[in-house]
Amino acid sequence: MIKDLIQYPQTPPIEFNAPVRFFNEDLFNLIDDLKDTMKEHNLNGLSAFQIGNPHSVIVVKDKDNNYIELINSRIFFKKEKITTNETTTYFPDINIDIIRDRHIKVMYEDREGSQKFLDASDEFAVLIQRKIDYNFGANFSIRLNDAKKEQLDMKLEHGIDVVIDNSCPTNFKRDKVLKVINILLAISLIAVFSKYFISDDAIVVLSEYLNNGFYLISSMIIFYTFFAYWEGSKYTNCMSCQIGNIIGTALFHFAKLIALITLKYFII
Amino acid sequence: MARLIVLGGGVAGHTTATFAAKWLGSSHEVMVVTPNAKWNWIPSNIWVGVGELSKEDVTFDLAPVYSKAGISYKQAKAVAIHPEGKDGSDKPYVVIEHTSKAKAGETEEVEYDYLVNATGPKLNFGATPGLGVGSNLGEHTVSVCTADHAEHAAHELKICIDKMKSGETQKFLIGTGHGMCTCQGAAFEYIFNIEHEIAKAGVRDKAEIKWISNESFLGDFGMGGLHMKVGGYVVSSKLFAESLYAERDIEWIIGAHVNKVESGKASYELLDGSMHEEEFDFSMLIPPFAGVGLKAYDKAGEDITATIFAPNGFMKVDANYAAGTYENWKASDWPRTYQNPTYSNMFAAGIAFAPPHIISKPMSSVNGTPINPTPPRTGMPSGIIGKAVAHSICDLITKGDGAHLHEASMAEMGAACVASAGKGILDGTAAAMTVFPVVPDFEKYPGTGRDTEYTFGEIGLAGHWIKHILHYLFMWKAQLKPGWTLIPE
Repeated sequence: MIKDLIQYPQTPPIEFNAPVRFFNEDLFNLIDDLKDTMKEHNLNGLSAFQIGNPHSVIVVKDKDNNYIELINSRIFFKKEKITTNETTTYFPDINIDIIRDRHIKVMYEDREGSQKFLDASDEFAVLIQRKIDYNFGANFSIRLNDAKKEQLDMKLEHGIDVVIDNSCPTNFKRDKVLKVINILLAISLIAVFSKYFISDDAIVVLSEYLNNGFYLISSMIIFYTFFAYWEGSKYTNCMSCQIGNIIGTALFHFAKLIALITLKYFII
Repeated sequence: MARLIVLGGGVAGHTTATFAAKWLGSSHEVMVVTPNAKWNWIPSNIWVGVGELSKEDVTFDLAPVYSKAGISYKQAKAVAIHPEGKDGSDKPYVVIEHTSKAKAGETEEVEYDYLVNATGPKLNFGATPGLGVGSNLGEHTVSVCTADHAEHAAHELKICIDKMKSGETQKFLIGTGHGMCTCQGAAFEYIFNIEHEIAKAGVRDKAEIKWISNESFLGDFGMGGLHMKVGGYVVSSKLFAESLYAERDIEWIIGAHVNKVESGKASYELLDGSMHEEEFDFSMLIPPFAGVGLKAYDKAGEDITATIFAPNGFMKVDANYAAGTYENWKASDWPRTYQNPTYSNMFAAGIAFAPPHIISKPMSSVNGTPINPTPPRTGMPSGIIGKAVAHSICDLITKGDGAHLHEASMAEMGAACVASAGKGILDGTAAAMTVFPVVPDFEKYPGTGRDTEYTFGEIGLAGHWIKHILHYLFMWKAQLKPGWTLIPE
């Protein structure tokens, strides 16, 4: 029976596939459905996950167009990385570069439950890797790094290709400066309250250290503002939103510093 | 006055003994027989193995703790159990051999009313030629199974880092040293901690780091893998692990049975029966586990070891050992009370109980070599089982033979695991995962047998902090410091 293919933005009715434990008529019917669906849509491979079935079953066509039924398949050997430009029925009309293995060995069970092995290379190997990803509940987006994943989301949401060299990175060096500022603020806060546990002489010294610390933190916030602006200027496509973000972040941290200074004034 | 003897002072044995002593008070005797003088928080050994903690940080002397708790303590290893006593006495007893310096080699018969076998595993290095002899680690690889092993591993790692600093390239091979190993999690933690330390030393480009394991897919962990909620999405542990390995530039070999280790070289068989070799400069391969080799005899002195213990040396309990093939496995096969079916006053806890079957899908190579992880019974499940067994025995002692036995089936128990992927207050990472239940229940949760509502995971700095805090919490708890009972297992 021909089944509907699940396509974005439709959410698969299942979240992942489970190992096949029973090799019976239900399994054979599922395999027939996969083949019928492949024929209807002219596909080289299909995972049960793609038609909403919760079992670890894949059907692929080899180079001679023979159907191979892979049940509970595992890739246990791989060699040589390649970058492939892939598309998938879940995201029609989207192509993405993915790093895969060029040569693989697959262990699987046939419809009788007998253990079998399969060597695959190049396109055939990539096809099997993609289908096994579906078996484990994921489409090719799982193979993308965070930046590429964000780009894919943009493309799906807005229908535009934002995969350009000068797109905003997701991580900036300025974030490290921010991290240091936050750590210094946290240490200063703890130091203010440590007043209750130390001697009067030590409080005088602590107060001096805290004042110096406040100068250091305010200098670092100023440094952050200029550095962040300079760093962001290298990415012209996202500069407008960055300026607001940088100014907002700097003001927010100044507010935290002022609150801390006020607290110190009343406590120490 | 009844006497409870706990064989073994690891997580399960220590938990059983300390809770039993607390609940029974001074009206009954609790005795621990363990060959070690120190308690070791094993999950932190991986940090000793990279030089981030010392042996002293993860161990403490047992004697003063047991003295404080009113527990009798014998530094000895159990050799044989006589559950029917001997000629002239029906009182069951256990034969122990002392291991302390003062009494090394002396044997003694100790009578008991109740016995808990929590001996943990024998580290069966000898199962793989070259990996070691018997339970002794060999010269070609390192281990993090004990604090001493981990200290040695840290020393060897430092030598490799020094070589890389002087320009040499070093190959690291970490994983499991046999097709039937468990504890992939420890090796998983160690490989990422090594990678983290090497990167910290600024020589990551000089290191080729490779994972080798008996899992049929990365992220199996001996539990058949898991699907967990990560940031609201359900992600397979396979894809989660593959992403992490790719991100940290670590290659992997899976479905491998390491069948021989030589100087700088490991030979292994893959699931298709093909044989391969992998060279290394530094290797940590987890050995397979076996029972510690306890013998059992009836009143007439006949060997009844096969009645009490499974062929792998672990103690038989109330599990279904005739479950048959994979498709017939059920959650109900797993033990609930951990009581020995032949002798009702004997229990097993932690790794020492014989599981009914593995959890992962069974696999073997075309040559017939079994290559699949065996079930993990360490950490949280060990502690929970130990406490349930202590509860049961206390009730049997105080309420009589008809007392209800407490249950802690791994098929109804969740577990939390925090796997370190690098130590550092600001740059550490750890994968925190929960899984429910540990053993899949295919009838209750059709499909993968687990409840995804309670199976989730995250990786990041917060996970590392949790792992670090847990280190101090469990060291505190094990030393029976104030509030120890409030800290969960």
